[in-house]
Amino acid sequence: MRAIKKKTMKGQFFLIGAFLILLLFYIGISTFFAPAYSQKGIKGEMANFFSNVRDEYPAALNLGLNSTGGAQALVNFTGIVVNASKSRGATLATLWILTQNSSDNLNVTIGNYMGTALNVTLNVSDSLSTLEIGDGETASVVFASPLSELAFRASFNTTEKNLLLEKYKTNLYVFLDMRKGSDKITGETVA
Amino acid sequence: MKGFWRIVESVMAVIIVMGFLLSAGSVYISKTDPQELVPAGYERLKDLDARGLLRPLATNGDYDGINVLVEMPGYSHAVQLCDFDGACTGNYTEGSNVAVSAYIIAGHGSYSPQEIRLYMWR
Repeated sequence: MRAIKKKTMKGQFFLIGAFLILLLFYIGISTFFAPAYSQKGIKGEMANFFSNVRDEYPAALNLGLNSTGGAQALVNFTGIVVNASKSRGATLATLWILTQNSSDNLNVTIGNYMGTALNVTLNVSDSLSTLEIGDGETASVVFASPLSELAFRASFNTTEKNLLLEKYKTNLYVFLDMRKGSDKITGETVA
Repeated sequence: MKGFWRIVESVMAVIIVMGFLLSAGSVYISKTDPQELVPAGYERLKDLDARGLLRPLATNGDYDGINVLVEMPGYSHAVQLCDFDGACTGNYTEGSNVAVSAYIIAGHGSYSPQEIRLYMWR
């Protein structure tokens, strides 16, 4: 009587195991080679545009001083970059402060493009002035005969900026806030 | 056990062949997402600006001169100069595989803001 051999399922289990190994290998390869650029690309493009705008503000002022006037150039340039941001699906808020000497006095001009009316408090060598500026508007104030090197403090919203400025030099401070979806970039430049 | 080892050998052979095909294919046949080129194009324009080459050409309307200086190996490219009143000069192309990088300048010598657009495609 021949012994009855039990049929086993070894081959099928090996094939299933081989299939699982292949599946894991394919998943690993797909993950390794899949480009992950879409979110990174949006953030990268936004960051590049932001730094381009931030770095170009001093150039706009310098070129404007030669022609249309510094403040006018800043107003014009701000309108341009705000619209350029919108065309990219982003919102740009900015506030700039321009100081220029006028005889022996210090003329301070502020441009508010933060999306809301603001109170901006200025402290020039312990001389205080608060300006209420509507959104999209500019306002100016003159500080009489400050020191040649002056301590300058500007406060708006939750931002407080302290600078040491030279009266006889044109100075520019720009605060920028750009948002696109859940992404946000803030920065400033001083020139 | 002979059958077991033959299955293992065949599985390993399939893995090796598939691995080779997938890796080789992704290198030589991969489709580049145009969005990947945008940062590279911006860096090219920024580099030209840092070298003092971009603004004189842009303010003179020399879009071909800028295009010649742009180096994007493996890609065709064209440059367009636009003011912010909607007027543009230069060459451009459209398509789903075209990437566009933009660089804003306030001017050169006088205040005349422009946007330099670099179009790139395979």
